[in-house]
Amino acid sequence: MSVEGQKVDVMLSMKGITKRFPGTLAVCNVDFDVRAGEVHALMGENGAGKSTLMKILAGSFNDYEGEIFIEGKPVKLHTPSAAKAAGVGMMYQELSIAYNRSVQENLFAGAIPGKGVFVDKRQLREKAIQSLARVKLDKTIDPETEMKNINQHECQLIELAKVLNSDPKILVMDEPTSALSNEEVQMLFDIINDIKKKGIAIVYISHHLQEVFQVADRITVLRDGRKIATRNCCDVTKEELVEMMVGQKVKEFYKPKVSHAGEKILEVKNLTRYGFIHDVSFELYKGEILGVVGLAGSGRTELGRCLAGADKVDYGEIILNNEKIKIGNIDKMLEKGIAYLTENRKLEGLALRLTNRQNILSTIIPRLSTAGFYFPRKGNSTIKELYEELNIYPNNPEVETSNLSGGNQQKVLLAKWLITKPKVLILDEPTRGVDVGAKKKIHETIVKLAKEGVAVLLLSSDLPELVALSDRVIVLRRGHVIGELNEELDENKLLLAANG
Amino acid sequence: MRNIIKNINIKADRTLILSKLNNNRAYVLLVFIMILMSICAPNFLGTGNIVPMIKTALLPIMAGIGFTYVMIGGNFDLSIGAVINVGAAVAMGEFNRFFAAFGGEAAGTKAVVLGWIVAILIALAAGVLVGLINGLLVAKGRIHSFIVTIGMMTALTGFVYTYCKGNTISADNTLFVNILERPFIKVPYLEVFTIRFLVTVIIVIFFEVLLLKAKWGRDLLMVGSNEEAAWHAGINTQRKIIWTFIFSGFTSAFGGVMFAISMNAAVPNYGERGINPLMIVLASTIIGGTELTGGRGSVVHTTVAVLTIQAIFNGLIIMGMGFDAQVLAAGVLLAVVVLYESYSLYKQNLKKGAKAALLKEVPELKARRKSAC
Repeated sequence: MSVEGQKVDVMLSMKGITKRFPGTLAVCNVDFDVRAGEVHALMGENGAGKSTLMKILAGSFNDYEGEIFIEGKPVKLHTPSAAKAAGVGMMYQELSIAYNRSVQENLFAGAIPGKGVFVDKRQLREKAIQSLARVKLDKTIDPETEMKNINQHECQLIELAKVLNSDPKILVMDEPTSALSNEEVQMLFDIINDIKKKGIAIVYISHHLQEVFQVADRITVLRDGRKIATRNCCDVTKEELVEMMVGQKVKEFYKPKVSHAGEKILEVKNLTRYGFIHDVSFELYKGEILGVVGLAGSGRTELGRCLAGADKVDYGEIILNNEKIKIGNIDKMLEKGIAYLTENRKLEGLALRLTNRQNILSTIIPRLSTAGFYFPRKGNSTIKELYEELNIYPNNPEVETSNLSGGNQQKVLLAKWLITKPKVLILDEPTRGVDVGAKKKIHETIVKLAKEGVAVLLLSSDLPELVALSDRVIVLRRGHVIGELNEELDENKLLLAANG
Repeated sequence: MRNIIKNINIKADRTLILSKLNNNRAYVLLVFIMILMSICAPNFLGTGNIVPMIKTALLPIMAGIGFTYVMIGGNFDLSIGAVINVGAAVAMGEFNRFFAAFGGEAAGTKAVVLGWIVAILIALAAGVLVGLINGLLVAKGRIHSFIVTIGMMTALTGFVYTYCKGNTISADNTLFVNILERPFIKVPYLEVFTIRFLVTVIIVIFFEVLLLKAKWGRDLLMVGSNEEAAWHAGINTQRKIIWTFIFSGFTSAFGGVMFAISMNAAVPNYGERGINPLMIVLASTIIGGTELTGGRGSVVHTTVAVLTIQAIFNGLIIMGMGFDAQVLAAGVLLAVVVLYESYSLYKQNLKKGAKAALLKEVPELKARRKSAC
């Protein structure tokens, strides 16, 4: 890949990489290279093979085909320690943190400095402070703090610091921004720029087009395990990129919206959970999509959880259909018609080892039961409708949910709540970490629901999503509602309002 | 002066004190029970009670070391009770065999010394072997440690009955038996210093240092806290887990060996009648603050908790209460500790993620609500 007249230092080069899983070809004959000091974005829908390719690089498999060169030397990455020794540093999407150990022990797990066989406490502390300085946390965090007392976005930066400790030549970041607010993303990008200057090659996996254009130098797109193209970031447009990823021409990413708002269905007055949300009040109308914008830590998710009865509410009123209702547990709220799609599908949303049918029907077991006996067959026709509506792949409700791609899992999660026929549907990050195709389908479904008269409360950190779907947006900042936007929504406006 | 200011600051933070107390709850409970028992039970603090109390605790203390290690790694070793019996029976049985082989009474001290060395090595090797098998099945075979070690317990119980042919085994020579249990000085309280006591203390200290001061132990704590993270950090997690089981087999067998020699008897069913050492060890490890899910714990804290439970038992015996009351009391203590654990976890989760800036507003909000009502 050397450009004429320019000396290009290729740090990593993967040639003809193939990896089979029972029944599927996850990665097929892929060439991929990264230069020293560049950010190379790896893009593709869920299931395109990005994660598998990176797992190969991390040494998770000992049976891949193809050759890997680091600094021109051939290497065999058959174990994580071999990969680490070769200079590969992985920053994982799911954080690998030991929560009941201290920050410093996490930072130097497996490489604790010592005198002989003993731990050198002083050196450990000093090295931890240096390490935190690399991610600009040395002033705010004491290295002896237990990890469970650290904020989520700081956890992510500590994870990065941990990877940097091993002085990697190649740094892989898998969706590093999925849990971050915009402010924190900018902080992360500043740190990435610092790292780049040190000549580290960075592989950046993300679904966020905007972020990729902001941070990456080159982009490689994978689809169905094959490489589609590698392009310089400045030579490619968003539309081209989406087309390469999806494989078909997407003319309009978002549907133009028409408000379907009808009569008032929900009124929330002074909803308060001490320390999370204070005096939150708003109204919601039938057929309306009400967006909630707020940075991480603004109380967005907490608002959803309190409304759904998942968290204890200290005081406040919820008036549904002009009737004041008692704020009870999740099952009581669900009976009244308030459904809440949780933020994290793997932790809170789905039982991955159950089948899709079991997952979808789990919310309506009482409805399908007669005299204490459960008749899941009664749900068959509804499941079929939902499958058609959401286009869930594979088209078989008996498949274990863990076998689905992230996008299809998210559709199953949505189906699970749609089947309750809610009057008010609270969606918390309905498309986080989901591929473009699934995202489009989910958006269409949300719009259709609103058309049918369901009131939707959309909690999202995805600004284009909020702009495209919401009729109105309320702005949360540090646990308070600080305003409402209802005309000519655009991303800048939202961002400014949320940042204040 | 500085110290006073420091103290005031600490006093201001009630939760900090509580968490400190909880982290050292083994000591707190021991002191509390000792005071309670010395008030309720006459002569509880007398040398006639304290010395036998500590001697009885030596066996569960030994087994508790390995059990704590296994639990820190995130597993359970329910086979320790059976391993104790294996250690005891094999040591006695092999001594008799090798004592005879080395010439018996006719050969004098030489046969006794050689006989014990070989017998003890075989017994310890048996414990290590059991631990290795447990560890391999759990770490490499990915079978839940409950299943593995319960199976091992059953198999070993069968083995010991066969080995002993159902009988009690005693050593054919009692020279060493007397040495192991003979106090260095015959002074009240200090009578407790015997070879067996010292060996136990040394092993406790060794494993505590290995766990908390050595790099090896920090890595183990990391494995117990988050196996995935430890694996990604390049720690050989499977090997660490296997080692915890080997240590458990080793310390339990060693405890059993010393117990049998000091009693000059190995029975195949120790712990089946009366209080099972497994029960004492399990309760002590939890009371001592080792986290049930792994990643945190201390051998010394387990040891102190064993002493606490033993103090309860002895105190109740002095008060004239039976076996039933002892079990009940130990059970209640365990239940209180576990309830406290879950309560504090609940409290912690309730506040998890609360914003400090918002919590400052709470008094104002409360005041406003009051005036509105």
